[in-house]
Amino acid sequence: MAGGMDVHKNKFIEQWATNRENLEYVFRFNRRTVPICVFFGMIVPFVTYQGITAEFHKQDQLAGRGPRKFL
Amino acid sequence: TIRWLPYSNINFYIGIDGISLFFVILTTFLTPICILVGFYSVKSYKKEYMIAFFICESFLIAVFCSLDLLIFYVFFESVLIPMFIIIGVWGSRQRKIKAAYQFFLYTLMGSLFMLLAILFIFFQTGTTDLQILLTTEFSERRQILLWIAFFASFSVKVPMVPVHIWLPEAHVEAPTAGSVILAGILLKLGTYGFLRFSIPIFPEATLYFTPFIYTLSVIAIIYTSLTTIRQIDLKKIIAYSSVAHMNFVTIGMFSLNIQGIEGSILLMLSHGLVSSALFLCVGALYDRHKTRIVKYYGGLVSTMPIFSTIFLFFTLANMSLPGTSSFIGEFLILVGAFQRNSLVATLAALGMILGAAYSLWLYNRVVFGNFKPNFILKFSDLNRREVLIFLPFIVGVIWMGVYPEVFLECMHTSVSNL
Repeated sequence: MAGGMDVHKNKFIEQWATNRENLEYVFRFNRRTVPICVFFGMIVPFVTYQGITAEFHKQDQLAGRGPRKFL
Repeated sequence: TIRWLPYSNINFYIGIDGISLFFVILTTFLTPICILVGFYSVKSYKKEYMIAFFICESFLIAVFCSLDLLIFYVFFESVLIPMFIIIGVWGSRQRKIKAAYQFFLYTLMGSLFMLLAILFIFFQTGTTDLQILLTTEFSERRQILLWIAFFASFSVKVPMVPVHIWLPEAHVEAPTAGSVILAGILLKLGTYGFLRFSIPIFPEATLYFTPFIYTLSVIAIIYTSLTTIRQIDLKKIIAYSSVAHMNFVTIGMFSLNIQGIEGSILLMLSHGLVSSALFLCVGALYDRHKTRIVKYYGGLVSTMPIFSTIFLFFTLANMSLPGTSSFIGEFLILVGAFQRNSLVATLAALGMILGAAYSLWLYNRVVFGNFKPNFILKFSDLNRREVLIFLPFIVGVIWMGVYPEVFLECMHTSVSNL
């Protein structure tokens, strides 16, 4: 493909991009991040899973069969 | 059939049906595109570049044609080697080494469990022939354990949350053609594995784990779509959107009805075209300006109108606009998923809304808005070679979006037999 029109890099934008890219190296578990991780990493998936299995069990109830076994 | 290890009753069974046919066609379609893409952009080791892509293509076709579990595994893992070399040698930055290792080790570690499962299956049944295994009944407990082992491998390839981290790294650091192969075909290996092996060989375990898969997929769609919105690197935006699309595919696949499975196959094919084309668009920009950061771009509609038109088309295809191939796939998936579980379908549909959000915002920032002469002063629109590269993608997306019957009819018998 064509080339030869390089961007004039801005050091602040490059620094911003580098910070974004290397977020995993500066991430720390602290008072702010732990509740966020617990909420989005455990509670939301757990609630979603419970909702999905509840709907399956409701279908079983309406069909007149015993609840299916899931994980 | 070619006799490979006759004393162990392991033979090289190859065959093709309505499902694998399309993936083989996709592979053979994308490889020449990759060669064309690298024609002028690859400056060093050109011969080795071509060799790596042809070897990769051979292994990919072998994966899709394998009818033996062990042969499938061998080629499934073999694909990693040329891809590791492609990312590690022809990647754009120093970070490519880390990305290559991450890509290789993530997939390999997941696949080790699958190898153990294959050995267990072989010692129990005496064969790894798929057609015999489809008639073999495993106890429910064994099915669950074997299914988990297969899941460990395929989930990394899909990729499913939380083992998806290798994807953005690999995509960003790979050369343009490497990203095309990664997004276009490699991501389909995981879902193909689910469809070909996990679901038919372990049906009871599949039912047992369906809510688990649904949960992971829905979480992946929403979380990665939200993550996509906050990205500032063009390639990372498309990479994260690929994660969302592939998890849409798993929802359709595990709905275990014809509409869901046909929709998932169609979405895989569509994603193979659309995502690859989007990476080609980003590659066109990167080849010219040597940056993928969104902040530097703006007002491209006035300086690169042909590029803007093509980019618009694939952006709309990416957000599943009716008339494009993605819409058919996602619609069928939602129909199939709704028949099984309406909550999953609702949450997945939310992902479609987020998909529209990040696609349109990306397009708006890059193509419209103010021209930024502080950063980029010279522009050059797509040349004839680049436009010719995009044309087959446009034809494919419109064909699948307007008249998908050709594809659905081909795969219908094979899907019904699953």
